Amino acid sequence: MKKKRIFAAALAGLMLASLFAGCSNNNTGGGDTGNDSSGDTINLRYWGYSRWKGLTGTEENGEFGDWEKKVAEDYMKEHSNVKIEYENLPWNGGPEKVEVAIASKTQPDVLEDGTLRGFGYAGQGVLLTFDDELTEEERADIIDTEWDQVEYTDGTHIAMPWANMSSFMLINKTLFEKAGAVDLLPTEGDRSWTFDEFEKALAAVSKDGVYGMALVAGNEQGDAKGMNLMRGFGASILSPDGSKATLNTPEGVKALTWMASLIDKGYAMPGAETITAPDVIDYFSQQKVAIIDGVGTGNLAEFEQRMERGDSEKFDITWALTPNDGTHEGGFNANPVCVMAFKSGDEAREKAAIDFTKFVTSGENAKAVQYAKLMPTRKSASDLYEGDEIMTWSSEIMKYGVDPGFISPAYSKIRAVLYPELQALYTKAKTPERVAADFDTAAQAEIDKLK
Amino acid sequence: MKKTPGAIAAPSFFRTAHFKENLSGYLFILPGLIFFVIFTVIPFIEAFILSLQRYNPRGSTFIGFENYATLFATDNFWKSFGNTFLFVVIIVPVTMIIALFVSSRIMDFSTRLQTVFRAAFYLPVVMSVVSISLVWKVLLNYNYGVLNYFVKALGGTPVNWLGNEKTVIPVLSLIVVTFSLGQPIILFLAALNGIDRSYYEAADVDGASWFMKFRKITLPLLRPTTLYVLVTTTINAFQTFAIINLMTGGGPNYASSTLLYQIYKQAFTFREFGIASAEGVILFFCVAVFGVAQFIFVRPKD
Repeated sequence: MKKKRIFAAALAGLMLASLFAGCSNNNTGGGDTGNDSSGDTINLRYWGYSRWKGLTGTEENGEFGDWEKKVAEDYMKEHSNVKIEYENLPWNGGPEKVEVAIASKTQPDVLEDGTLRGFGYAGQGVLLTFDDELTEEERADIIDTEWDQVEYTDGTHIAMPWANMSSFMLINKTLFEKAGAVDLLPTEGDRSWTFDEFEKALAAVSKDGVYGMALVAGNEQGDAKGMNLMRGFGASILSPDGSKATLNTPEGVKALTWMASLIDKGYAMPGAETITAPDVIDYFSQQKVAIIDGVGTGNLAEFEQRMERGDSEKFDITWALTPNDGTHEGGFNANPVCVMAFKSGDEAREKAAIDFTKFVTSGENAKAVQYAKLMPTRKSASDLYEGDEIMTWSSEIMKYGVDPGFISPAYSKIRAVLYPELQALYTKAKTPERVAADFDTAAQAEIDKLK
Repeated sequence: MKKTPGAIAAPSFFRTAHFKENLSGYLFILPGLIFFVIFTVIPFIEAFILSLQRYNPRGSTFIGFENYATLFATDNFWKSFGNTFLFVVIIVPVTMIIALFVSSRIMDFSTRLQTVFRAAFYLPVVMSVVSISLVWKVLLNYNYGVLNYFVKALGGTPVNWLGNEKTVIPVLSLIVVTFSLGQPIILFLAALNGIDRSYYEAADVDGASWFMKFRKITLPLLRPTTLYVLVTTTINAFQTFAIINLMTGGGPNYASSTLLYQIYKQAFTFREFGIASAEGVILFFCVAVFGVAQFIFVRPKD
């Protein structure tokens, strides 16, 4: 009996010990457990939403994150006491992973993302600022308007700008040639067109299993697509300073009515309430839709790379501005891509994070944006696309870029309120008037909560 | 306490024969108990405390039951609350009935054939829910899905399975049932194989029909297993999340949003950890009430 108790006690102790074996004893609150600076080695975690596969986007067996890992290796060669681990984030679930990491104080040290979420992180007070970290030469190389786009409400600059992109429509020219309607596409000047001209083009190409375009309301991603279309009517969901919800206007209702009518007329793919932004990219690649809106040169690079790798059939692509009603200029959500550094509570680690962030976004690394056909943010890289027709055009239309209110701390909630209302619109559960009114009520409530 | 002269003091609990006999048992459950306390009880207490606060990474503020009041005043909360119960009401009885029926049918098969059926029904259990969800999403695609292909081929009108407020919950529920059947079938089969055959032989002698044998012999003897399957299936149905997140995002227009999905959105999209914790506490009490009710009404009568 006694032996049995001793055996049981020993086994229980072993089980207890194994239970706690997996638990780390290293929690400095502000860094990953086990990722702290130990001795002379500084461990940095670098996360990002890789925008191309391989080192240049054209390698057959390239993977997302190859370039970022190479950048990290290059930095580590020059800084032997720094160890950097890169992790690629998926668009679906990546933002939530970062939020969980921040809440559990295991945030990365360096993150590549846009100001859409960057300002949200700044609002939580978890980002390092770069105002005092740049030499005169480094600051002088950054294009002024790009530097302004990473300025937070308190005047600090919360990230290093890396890339920018204008947002417009890509068009499958091959499908329009097959439909005998290529002359309906704008080709001159800034390639703008009115909604009437746009609808004529949609009507001409929407047949034989092909839809003119696809509207998106499956989740909060792709909200920029709907917002770009609304701007063509002079409508917007937020005031410029982000303090007021503004969809419930005659222009807003007109925009919503028109968007819903595209499905009824057969010009837009039905089922918009379940279609997500990645779905539309696949549909365009598979030539199931002829026009994809709310995209940029980065997406053009992706489609070209898919064709080069043999992932999709080859077809010709042309481009145009999002349509407008002839009286409003329209515009698109400016969505700069930047690299930010997080606070960790460890001075050496924070210094290394800032230094690495500057390394990722400058010199030859600043020019790497060409692999995703994004606009550079450095004056020293401004000749990157000389002679490239679409890149030159894309750069010229940057003047139509509009701040959609990313800087509002309620923005993430507002976009999460928008897509259910659009779902109600497309399923005809609500009228356009009711959608506009309900959106404004819900969005304003979120804005007011944070005042 | 006054001692009666001559009385012998009762030994402390730790010196009793009961404790000494069961000491090894206590030692064996000690790691599990510690695990339960550290990873379930303490987090629940912390979540309750957080539910009484307005969360801020730089320092939360105590606001009492304001988060609960905010939730109760929100239409989306009640919609999610109702949807959660709808999932439970569909998933639990359908799973129980199918599992019981399949188990009672294959019970009479040879051992080899039983193994084949067990493996077939258990396979979805071991597959990743992400893979299952993505495959179903493709099958149910309104424009290009296989299901609507057959509907059109039969002359019907394509159905927006995941985009229609009326069909989204039944469709998602049935998908959940497909990968929830495995474990109940295994458990029911094991329990059925443990029932003494002589009961059924005696019933056959008395001329009992299949249904009478099922009602008077099988069901009562299966009660302990039924209770376990009922409780675990109910808990899982309350926590339906992955397929909603992957297939519908809670839509269309919150028609498939559940309490757990809202907890996820509040916490990780809106950073409202206080409100998410309040929803978590509410979900806990809903599951607890159901669990206790099931124990009271379904537990085996001694």
